[in-house]
Amino acid sequence: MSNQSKPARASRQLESIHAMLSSGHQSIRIEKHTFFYWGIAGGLLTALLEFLYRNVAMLMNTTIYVLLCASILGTIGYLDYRKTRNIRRSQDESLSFIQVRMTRIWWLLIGAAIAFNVGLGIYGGNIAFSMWFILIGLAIIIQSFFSTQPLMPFGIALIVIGAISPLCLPYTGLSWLAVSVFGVGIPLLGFMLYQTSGLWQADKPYAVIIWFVLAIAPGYAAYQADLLSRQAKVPTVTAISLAEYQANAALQQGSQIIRLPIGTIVPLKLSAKGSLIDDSISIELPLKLNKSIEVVLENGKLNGMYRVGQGEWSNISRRKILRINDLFIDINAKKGLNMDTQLGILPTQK
Amino acid sequence: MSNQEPYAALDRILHQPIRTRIAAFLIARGEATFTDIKKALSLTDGNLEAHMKKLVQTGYAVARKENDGGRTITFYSMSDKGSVAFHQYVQALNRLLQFEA
Repeated sequence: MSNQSKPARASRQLESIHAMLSSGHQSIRIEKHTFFYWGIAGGLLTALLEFLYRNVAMLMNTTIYVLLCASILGTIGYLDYRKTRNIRRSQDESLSFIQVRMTRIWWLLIGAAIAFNVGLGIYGGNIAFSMWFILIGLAIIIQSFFSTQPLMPFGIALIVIGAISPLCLPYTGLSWLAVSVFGVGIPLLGFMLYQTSGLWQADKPYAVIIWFVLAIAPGYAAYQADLLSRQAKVPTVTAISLAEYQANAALQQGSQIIRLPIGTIVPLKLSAKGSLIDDSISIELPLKLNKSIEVVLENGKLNGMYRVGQGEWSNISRRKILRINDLFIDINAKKGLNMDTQLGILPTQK
Repeated sequence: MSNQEPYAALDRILHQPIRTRIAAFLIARGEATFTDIKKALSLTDGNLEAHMKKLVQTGYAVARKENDGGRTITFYSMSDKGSVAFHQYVQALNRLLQFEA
């Protein structure tokens, strides 16, 4: 071997060492089934979240609701781990040290998302789905640091969806978007990552654009269809006053629009309960409207449709319109014990 | 100092391109199966087997067998001796390049 080739060989050896060190560090990958398990479970859970909230959290207990959601995600996590382990074992492959650590990071981020979600569900907020997009996007970006799978652009795309969507869509729209991004987008990402050629290959420069469009389009289409179906719930009749409605028994059948003019007093029945408070005593808080509201009744029952003034018809979302601004507690010599609270009641945007 | 002297310091077991790559992969990954290494290095079974045998015989790598439902899976990792030798080998390569420069 000539003296010139020896340093060249040493240099090549160092280069190959660096390449293999990278390969060893970037030895993790997400299996295709993982995207399908988590994506479909996430999409279904999101679609059922409102139903579960109303039927479990509101009627039973928030703790049961949280445990139910956590147990569904926990079961998926266990099934995913078993399937991944079995696949690796059947191929005589191992789960690397980094992969095991990375799985724990995923669980930490999913746990954080559940905690945020529960907090927002209890204390109010319209950004729960955005937070899910951003946290899952972050998890995918962290995963990409240790993986040869081209995950980074998809993680960034999820964060972009999380950041922009609350500016463009109301809560109902965000809910449909989450069903679509998780239920369709995540399995689609799994499909694309395992394509070795063609249009669907994830490492093509335009792949993230295709994914972005296909992940959000079904959600947006479902939201538009939902809006149209809601508009269909508004009858084509002239609005009448509450007094007319109460006076005329014939008007109490079928669909009617009731107009509540500015200055109408709406009694809000109020009670509070907690570990220190008994809720057997309630008060009626008179609320005075400063804008006129029209509501739709079907056979004597509100169907959830309303509009403020001559604005667009919307469907009321019970748990997203109340905000407790503050709670003051005071004891003084003249008034005794006082609790003063301010509630913010906000109509949804669309 | 002659030009030949730095090359004498290079570990003869590790100064072989495939074994160097195997050692680097195992150092970074920690533990890997035969298939993990074969896929990462794109080697044939026979070729990899020969090099793994050499690394295990010299005590640079250790093999751990695990039974999984009737199948035995062998996991390889670098031993302490092998890790030290690998780091010394990398240092020797770096010194060699500085020396040649």
